[in-house]
Amino acid sequence: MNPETLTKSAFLALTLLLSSQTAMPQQTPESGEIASFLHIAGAQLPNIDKNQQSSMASNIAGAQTRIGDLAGALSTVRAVESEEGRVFATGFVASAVAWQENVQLAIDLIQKSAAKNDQTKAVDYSFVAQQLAGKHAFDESLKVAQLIADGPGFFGKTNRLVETLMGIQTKQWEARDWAGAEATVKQALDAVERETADPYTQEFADTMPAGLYCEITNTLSREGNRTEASAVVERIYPMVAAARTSEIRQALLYQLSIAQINLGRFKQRSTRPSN
Amino acid sequence: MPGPWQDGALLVIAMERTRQGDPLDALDEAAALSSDSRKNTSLRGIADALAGSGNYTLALSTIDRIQGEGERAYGLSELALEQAENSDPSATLTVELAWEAALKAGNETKPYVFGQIAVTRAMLGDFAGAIEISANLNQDENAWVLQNLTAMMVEAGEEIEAIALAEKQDAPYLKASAFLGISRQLIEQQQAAKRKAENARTN
Repeated sequence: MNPETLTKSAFLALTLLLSSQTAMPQQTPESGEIASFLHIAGAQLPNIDKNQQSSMASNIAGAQTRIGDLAGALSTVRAVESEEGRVFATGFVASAVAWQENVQLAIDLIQKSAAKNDQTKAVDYSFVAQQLAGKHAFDESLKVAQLIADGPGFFGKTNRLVETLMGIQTKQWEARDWAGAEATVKQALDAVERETADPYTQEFADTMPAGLYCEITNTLSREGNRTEASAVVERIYPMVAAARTSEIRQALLYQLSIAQINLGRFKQRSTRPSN
Repeated sequence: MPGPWQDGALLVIAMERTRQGDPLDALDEAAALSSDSRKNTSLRGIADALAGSGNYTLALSTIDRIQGEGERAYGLSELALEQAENSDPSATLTVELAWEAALKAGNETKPYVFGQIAVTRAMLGDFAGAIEISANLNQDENAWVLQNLTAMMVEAGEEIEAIALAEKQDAPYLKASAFLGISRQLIEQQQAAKRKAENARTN
């Protein structure tokens, strides 16, 4: 596991573990006390290495928003030197605001965070959409995801959109909103089809759609939706057959094998048997 | 399929078999991997899964198959952390094995291995041991250790000690991390209290 991923997962797991244990008798912490600690943390930002500023500010600003200190959170965001870092940190504020059910403010914050930086804004929209899906506010979640689709093009936009939609779909599936989940998968598949028909760059045009289908298959397989997952895998076979070079064919075969493995087909043939 | 592609697919098969509760078959897949780093990744995942199902003997013997002293220390530290996250009492022994392996591997031990050991010790309530390790970590590694450590200290009712530890940090990044850990835990406690009060009102 990547140590950074570990950091996040360990902290999350830790929080869950500790919250499930019998806690010592404690007084309820006051927001003022917490705000003062976060203020101390935020005051360190100007002296923190530029590469670490953005993630630290994101976490501090997100926590400030959670305790209702939006002014403090925005001040923390402003302390980040790079514009991209400020946009990224805004996403943490916006997702906390969305969690508090002020979706319009969340969207406004992201839209006004910078004139450009569309790639990072898409990350922010994804945060907010996932947060709303976590609250089962699926209609609003999908509207926020649509902002990614409607936004300017950039390399990786379809990946971000598909990842966001599949994240929403998982929450719909968990909430037993089968029809909603099916419709969201269709949106994800439509996004891949649009990328196939009109790739942002030719460089990965031969392999990116297969990778996205593979990602969709993986999610569906983990949910136990094998029928839908198998149908998505079927979309990869013709790509292998139509590969323009042996290198592309190898890459597509790899994607196909990963999709099959995700389906639990460990000994599947790499091409469909002819009848 | 050429070597690297095949290795990639075999690694995914091993992890998928493990996820499906079939770690023994996954070991066969891991053995077929040609790249040591992928073999090690696979073996660590299998060991975690074995430990998760309570098969500690096989989990430890799986880690023994990992190539390289430093990589084995990593496997043990990850296993110890996993066990501690699951409130498994075996974590106490595993973290000691990880510590010994990490020291034995010397320069081969990656800094995050010591970080994992420090966090595991803190999870087991050994704050002094965790602080001692954290003091010798590089800044990047120490930041997440301190963030976890101060949060756990607050959770354990040692808020004053956690604040003292945070204030003691000279490096801005570490001070910010330590105070962030304190704050996050206090927010958790605040929100848990709010939920409790709301439940009491509705019931």
